[in-house]
Amino acid sequence: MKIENNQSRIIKDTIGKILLYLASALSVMTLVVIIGFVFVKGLPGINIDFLTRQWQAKTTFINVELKNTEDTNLSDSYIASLGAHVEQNEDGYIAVTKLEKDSVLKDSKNLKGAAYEVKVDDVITKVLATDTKNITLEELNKQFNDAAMNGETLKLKVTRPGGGIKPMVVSTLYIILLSLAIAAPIGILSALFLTEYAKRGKILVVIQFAIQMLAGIPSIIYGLFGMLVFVQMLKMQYSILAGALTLSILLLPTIISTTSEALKAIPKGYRESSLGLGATKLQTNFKIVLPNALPGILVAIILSIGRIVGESAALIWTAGTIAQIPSSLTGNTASAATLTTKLYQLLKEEGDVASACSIAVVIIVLIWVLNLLSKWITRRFTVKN
Amino acid sequence: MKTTKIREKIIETLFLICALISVISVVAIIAFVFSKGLKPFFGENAYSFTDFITGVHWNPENNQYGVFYMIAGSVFATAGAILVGVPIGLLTAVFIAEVAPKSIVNIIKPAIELLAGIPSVIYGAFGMGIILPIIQKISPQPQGQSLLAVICVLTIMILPTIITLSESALRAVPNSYSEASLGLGASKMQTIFCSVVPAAKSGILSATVLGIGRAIGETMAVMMIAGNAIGGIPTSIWDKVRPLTVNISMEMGYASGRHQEMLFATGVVLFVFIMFVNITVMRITRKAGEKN
Amino acid sequence: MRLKRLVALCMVGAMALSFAGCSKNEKNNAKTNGNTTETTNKTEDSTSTDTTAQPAEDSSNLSGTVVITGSTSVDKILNDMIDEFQAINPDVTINYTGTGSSAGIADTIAGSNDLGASSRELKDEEKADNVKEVVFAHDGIAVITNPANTVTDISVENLAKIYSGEITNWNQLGGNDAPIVIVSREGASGTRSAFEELIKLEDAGGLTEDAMVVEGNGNVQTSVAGNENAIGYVSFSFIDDTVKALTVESVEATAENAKAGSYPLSRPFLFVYDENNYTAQTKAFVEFALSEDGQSYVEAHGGIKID
Repeated sequence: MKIENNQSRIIKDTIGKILLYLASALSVMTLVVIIGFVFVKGLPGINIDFLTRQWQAKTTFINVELKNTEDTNLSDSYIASLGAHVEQNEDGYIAVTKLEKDSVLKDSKNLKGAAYEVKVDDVITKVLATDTKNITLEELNKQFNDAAMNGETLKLKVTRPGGGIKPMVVSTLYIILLSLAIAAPIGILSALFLTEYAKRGKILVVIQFAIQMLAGIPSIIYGLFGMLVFVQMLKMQYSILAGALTLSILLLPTIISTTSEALKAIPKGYRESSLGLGATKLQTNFKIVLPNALPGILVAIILSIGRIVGESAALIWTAGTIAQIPSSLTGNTASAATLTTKLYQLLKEEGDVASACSIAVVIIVLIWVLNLLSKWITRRFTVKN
Repeated sequence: MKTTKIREKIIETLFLICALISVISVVAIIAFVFSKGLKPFFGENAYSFTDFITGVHWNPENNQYGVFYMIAGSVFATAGAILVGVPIGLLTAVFIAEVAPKSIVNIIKPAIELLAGIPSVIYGAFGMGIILPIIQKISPQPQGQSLLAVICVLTIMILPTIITLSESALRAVPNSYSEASLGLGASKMQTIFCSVVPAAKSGILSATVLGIGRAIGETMAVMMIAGNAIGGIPTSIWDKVRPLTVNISMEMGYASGRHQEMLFATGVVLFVFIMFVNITVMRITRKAGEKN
Repeated sequence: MRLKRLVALCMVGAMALSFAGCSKNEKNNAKTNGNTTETTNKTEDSTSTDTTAQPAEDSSNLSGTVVITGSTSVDKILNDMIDEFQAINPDVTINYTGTGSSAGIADTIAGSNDLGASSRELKDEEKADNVKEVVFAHDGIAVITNPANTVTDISVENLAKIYSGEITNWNQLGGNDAPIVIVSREGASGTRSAFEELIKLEDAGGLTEDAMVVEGNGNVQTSVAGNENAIGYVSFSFIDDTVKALTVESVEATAENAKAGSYPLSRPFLFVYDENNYTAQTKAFVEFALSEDGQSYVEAHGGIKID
C-alpha cells in the first residue's frame, strides 16, 4: 500500500517537474523565435548607411563654378573640372565616389545662393537639362571639360540618397526628451507628495485611484484623447509636442509608482535625524530624501524611455508618421515618426518586412541596453543599503 | 519663522497640484472620450444605442454601426489568451521562483524582461511572418488571419506580465510554509502546488487580471493578424475577428463626423471593460492588503 | 557622492545631446528646408531628355508652406514631385500627410489644408462652388492574386459577385477548387471607394462579411502574396513580383490600356483646393505637377500621364 502510494507520488512529482520545465522552455523559446525572426530578416539590411542616412532622398539643384584645370588624370571616372571621382550606379546615374580636397563641388551653391556641400554617394541626375541616365562617362567628361574651357557655371541636379533611419532616431530622441521634461518633474513631485506629505484620507485615495486607472488605460485610448485634445482642439496638428504631451500622461503612473517605491525604501531614521538637526521638511526632502532615492528615480526614467521607444498606438494619432527631423514643436514641420511608428507604417503602406525588421533590430537592441542599464543601476546603488 | 512656514505651505500645495495632475488627466480623458462617444446617441437624428451595442455589422458608408461582434471578438481573444497564458506563465514563475538553479534563473529572467520590453508592432510583425503561415496550413479556413492567431500573439504578450507578477507573489510566501510542508513529509512538488501556490493566490489573481487588461487593450499587434472583418460573430477559433481596439485604430485617421463619434463610442465600450478590470485589480490588492 | 557625479554626468550628457540635436537640426533644416516626404525616393526613370522644356528650373521668389493631406495611393508620386519642387523652390516647404482621400477632401472643405489629394472622384455632397478640382494623373486599380493562382482573367461582374460574397470558390471562375479569400481595404480608403464604385458593389449587395479588411496598400499586397487563394486590389504603383495582376475583361493592367480607356478599373488622381485659399506657392506646385517634369514622376511610379 505504502509503496503504491509512493509510486503515484513519484509519478505526480515527475509530471509536475516536466510541466514546469516545458512551460519555462516554451516561454524562453518564444523569445528566441521572435528575436530569431527579426534578426534573420532584419540584420542583412543594417549597415552604416541605414543608420546614418536620411530616410528620404533629397534633390537639390546646385550651381557649380567649374575649374579650368590642366589635370592630366585621363581616367574617365575622374572629372577634373569638378575634382570628383564618379561611377555609374545601378540605376544608370552618376554617383560621386570620391571628392578631391579642393573639389568645387564642396563649395557649390543652391538656387538661392546658399552653400550646399556635395558629399560622397550623392548622385548627379542632371547636368544642365541633360538627364545623366545611361550617359557614358566619356560623354560626361567631355561635356564638363568643354564647359570648363569656357569658364561656365553649370547647373547640376544632385540627389542625396535616402534609406536611412536618422530622422526617426532623432525624432525618437526628441520625443523622449520632451516627454520626460514634462512627466519626470510632475511624476517625482507627485511621488514626493504621496509618500512624504499626504495624510491618509480622501485625497490620497482619489489620487491613488487615478494613478491606477491611468496605468490600466490602453494606449489606443490615450491616442484618441491626444488626437482630440492636443491635435484638434489645441490645434497643435500632428506634432512632437502633441505626442510628448500624450505620452507624458501615459508615463505618469510608471514614474510615480517606481519613485514612490524608492522613497518608501529610505529608512525613517534619515528623515528624523535631518529634522532633528533643525532642517525644515522641505530641506529634508530635497537634501536627504530625494538624493537617496536617485537610483530609483533613474530606474523610473529608464523604464519610461523603454515605454516611449516601444509606443505606437498613442503616437500615430498624435505625432504623425512623417519621416523627418522636426524643426518646431507644433505645426506643419513638427510631425515626426519614431522608430516604432515608422516600422508600422512600413508594414502597412509598403509591405516591406525586411526594412521593418531592420528597424526592429535597432529597437530590440535599444530595449536590451536599457534593461541592462536599469539592472546595473539597481545593483550598484541599492546593495549599499 | 513665519515666512518659512508659509513657504513650506506653498511648496506643499505645489506638490499637491502635481499629484492632482494624474486625477485631472483621468477626469479629462473620461470626460472627452465619453462626451464625444455618447453624442451620437442623443439629440436629433440619434443612433439607437441598442442597435449600436447589439449590432453585428460595421459599415460606416451605410450608417451601420454595430459593435457586438467586436465585443465578442475582444472577449474571446482575451479569454483565450488568459486560458493559455496563465498556466504557462504560472508554471514558468514557479520554475523560476522555486525549482530552477540560480544559473538558469540568470538566463531566463533577462529573457522574460526583454520579452516585456519588445514593442507590440514587433509582435505583430512576428505574427504576420511566423504565426499566420503556420495557421494557414492547419486551418480548415483558407486564411491564417483568425481568432487563433490573435490568441497566440496575445498569449505571448501577456506572458511577461504574468510571469514577473506571479514570481514576486511566490517569492513573498514566507519560507515557513514550505518548511512546514516539507517537514510533514510532502515532496517538493506537493509542497509547491499544495502549499506555496495557494498561499500566493491573490498575487497570481491580480497578475491574471492585469493580463486581461493588457490583452483587451492591445491594438497594433492584433490589427495585423485579426482579419478585421466588417461583421459576423466568430463561431470558431479559425474565424476572423475585429476586436474593439482595432476598430478604433483602423479608421481613426480617416473618420469624421458621425463616423468619428462612433469610434469614440467604441472607445467608451472599451473603457468600460478596462474600468471593470481595474476595479477588480484594486479589490484584489486591497483584500490582500487587509489580510496581511 | 559617486551617485551625484553620475547624475551630473548624465545631465551634462543629456544637455550636450539636446544641443547637438538642436544645432544639427537647424543646419539640416536650412539645408533641406523641411524634408516632409514619407517613402524612399527611387531615382526617377525620367525618359525625357528634351532640353528645351525645362520651365520650372529657375529659382523663384516663392516662399511659404503648402499643406497637402489626402490619399495614400499618390504617396510615391507626390513625394517625388515634392522633392523636386522643393529643390527648385528652396524657400517653399511642402508638407504631405497621407490621411486618406475622404479626409483630404474634408480638410479642403474645412479649410485646414492648402491642397487635398484624392484618388477618387468627388462625391456629389463634397462638391461646392469654391472647391475646384484638378486631375494630375490617372491610375488603374489592379486586381491581384497570388502568383500560384491559375485564374488569369476576371470580369467586372464577377468581381462584384466575389466581393459581395456570391462567388466563393475559385472553381466557379475556372480555377482550382479552393475557397476565395477576399482582401479589402479599411473604411475610407479612396482605393476602396473607387474600386467599389467601379465594380458597382453597392448594387450587388455591398461588401461581404467574409472579407478580410486590412490597413494600407502594403498590407493588401503582403496578405495576397502570403495566401494562394487570396484576391485583393491595389493601385498600379504597388504591383510587384510577389503578386500577379489579373487581366480584367481580358485587358491587361497596364498604363497604356488604362489611358486608352480599355482597362475598366481606372480612376483619376485629383488635387482639390479652395478657390478662396489658393496661394501662389500652392498654384506653383499644382502647375509643376502638371508640367512635363512633374508628369515624369507619374509615369515612373506606374501612373498614367494626363494629356
